[in-house]
Amino acid sequence: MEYTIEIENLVKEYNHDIRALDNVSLKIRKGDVVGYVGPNGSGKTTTIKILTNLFPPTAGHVYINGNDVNKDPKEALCSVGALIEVPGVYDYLTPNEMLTYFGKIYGMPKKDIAHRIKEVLMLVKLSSWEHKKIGSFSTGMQRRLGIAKAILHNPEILILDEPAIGLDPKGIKDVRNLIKQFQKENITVFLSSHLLHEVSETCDTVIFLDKGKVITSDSMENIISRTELKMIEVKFLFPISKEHINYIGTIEGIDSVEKINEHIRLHFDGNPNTSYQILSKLISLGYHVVSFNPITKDLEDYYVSIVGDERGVS
Amino acid sequence: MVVALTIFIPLIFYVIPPAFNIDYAETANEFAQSNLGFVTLLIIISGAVFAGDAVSGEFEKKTGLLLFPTPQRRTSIFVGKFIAALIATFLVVILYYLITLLEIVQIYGLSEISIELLKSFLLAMIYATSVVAIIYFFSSILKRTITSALIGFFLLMMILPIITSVLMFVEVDPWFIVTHSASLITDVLGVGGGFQTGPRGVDLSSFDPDFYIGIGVMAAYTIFFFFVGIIIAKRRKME
Amino acid sequence: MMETKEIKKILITTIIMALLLSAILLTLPNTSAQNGGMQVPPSQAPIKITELSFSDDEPLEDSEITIFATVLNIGATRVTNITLSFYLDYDVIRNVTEITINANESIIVNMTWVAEKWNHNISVMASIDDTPLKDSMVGKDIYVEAKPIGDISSLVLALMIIFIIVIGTVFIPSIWMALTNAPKKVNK
Repeated sequence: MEYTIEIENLVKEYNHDIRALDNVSLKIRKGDVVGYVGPNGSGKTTTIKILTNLFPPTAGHVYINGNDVNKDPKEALCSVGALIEVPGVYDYLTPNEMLTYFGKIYGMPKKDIAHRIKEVLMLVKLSSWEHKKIGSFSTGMQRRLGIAKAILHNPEILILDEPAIGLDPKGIKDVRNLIKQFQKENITVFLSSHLLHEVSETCDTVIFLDKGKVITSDSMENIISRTELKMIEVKFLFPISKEHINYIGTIEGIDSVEKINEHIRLHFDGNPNTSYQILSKLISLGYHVVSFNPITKDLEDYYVSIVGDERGVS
Repeated sequence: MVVALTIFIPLIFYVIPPAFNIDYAETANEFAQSNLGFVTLLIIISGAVFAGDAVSGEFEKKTGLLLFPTPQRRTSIFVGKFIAALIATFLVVILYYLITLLEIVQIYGLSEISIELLKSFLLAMIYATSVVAIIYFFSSILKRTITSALIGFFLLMMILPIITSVLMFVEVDPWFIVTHSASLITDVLGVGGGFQTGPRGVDLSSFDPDFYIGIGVMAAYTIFFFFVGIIIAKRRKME
Repeated sequence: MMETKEIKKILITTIIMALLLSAILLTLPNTSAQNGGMQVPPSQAPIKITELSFSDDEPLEDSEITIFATVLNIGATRVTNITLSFYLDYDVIRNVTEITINANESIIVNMTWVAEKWNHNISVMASIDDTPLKDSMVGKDIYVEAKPIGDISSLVLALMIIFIIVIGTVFIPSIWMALTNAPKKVNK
């Protein structure tokens, strides 16, 4: 199995007494979109900075496409696009000038740079600002330009640290759509974010980090199934009487029923088949079902249960 | 601002004498000597402006977060920034000498251009490399761009010249001070003048920098501060 | 009151003393007189420096030039024991002593000087027995061109060395990597 990113026993210490990363190990396959989640100070950005050779680890290794990032950064980072924290900008340059500069740094053929610049600026919706000084850009626009720079050279791997910071809801949606597009193009995305909803919408795998250690790493599917609470919330077109509620409680597969405001909550074994049978039975009995929703813990609840209530999440 | 100064200063020497009915200097080399007396100041200002933020700017403004995670070695990036600062300073020197040359041709004629002017130009270029290297070094060790520019500027404009004067006063040859070697830029023109005797009757001309030692000192400063600057810049972390 | 006799005695004594004094003064050693030279005070010796010239009026630094001083005796008798002092910027650099010049004759006294760069004043003064002679100081300015310093090739070489070192630094990591063969992880 070929892994695009491999982190082996990564340790990072500051001043010999602060251990920001404590034997972190993980492997990411090509084409995966991985969410890297954790509270403030858990070591997410530290991991990303080591991954992008901003500083070396105290111990351990990081490999990208088999190349040690610390020993051979040129080979390791040639297929990586990165957006880390909130980088500064060259405010005296225009997007065209800045992206041309980075195009050359990435070793792109000269004839491709101009064309690709227009493509990426269109993707991040900055086409009309191509020749204006970056110093006049808003935070959101600078962020989008950072994303444009990260994808300029058609990287195989994207490393994004809080890509939606500073973006308005529309901008956040645009970033989400971009990541979904990268997913379709089989680009590996390693994404660190506080916006758990965005992570749950875009990522195949989620890694939870706390106090420099990997707490758990699992696919989104498994996390969702683990967070399902074996309850179904049902809403009917007309208010339902107590007698009907009691009758519904006798349907096979339903363990118990409780009334919550205008809808009922059914407890069952959590099996999707059972869920289907219950729905079919309700409809065949003539109930006008308006909505039929399995209740799950959302990713935030799961996250809090993993890292503890006192940490919280933004 | 630097370009404006580069054009303005030599023009003063061209415009002021006829405006006040004063004759120009007798020979082209004498004219060049007074004109080029300011080239060291201009080199230091250019060095402070262009090399001052070469390294510290990437960390201070966090543009390093864009630049460093790329398939370019840090060494290549920082050497490139050094060369860029050097080229910018060279262009300032070239412009200054070009204007001086044009003035000499206008006042004295083409035949008065001496080989010494070319020597002065090359010496100015070598001095420029040492100035840029020194300020680049400060840029690599200091956090803020403005601090590195100011410290470099004051070191070269004031502190080293003061040390040179003190050494000459106690009759110690300041051959190892780079700003003392910079006086070769005008000395090489072969024109007399200035103070030949210092306090207590000390013969200051005995402290005139030797040509070859002066070149060696400037080159040594360049190489030393460049290497130390690169090593420190490479190890600096974006934390 | 003094008697006439006593007054006469005093007068005669005074006259005799005056005569004696004159005789003493006249018999003081007089070299000019002994050598047949003039018998006036040195400061009034009839010696003039009529010309001061250089073998090269626009010398180059470190070249040897000859300074010529023409000294003329305008008097009627030979003058001896003349000292001619050469000064560079008012500091004495050479004394030529025991010069003798016959009446109405001139001699040329010269010295060589290794030219020091830039503006200087060369002057000459005549004296006898350390007494400067009247109107005998003559001076002349000379500009010595500085030697050309250095050569272009050294400067070009220095610049080339600096550039080679700076640009070569870019390739050092590549060379180092090639020599140490950085490990590459092999995926199983």
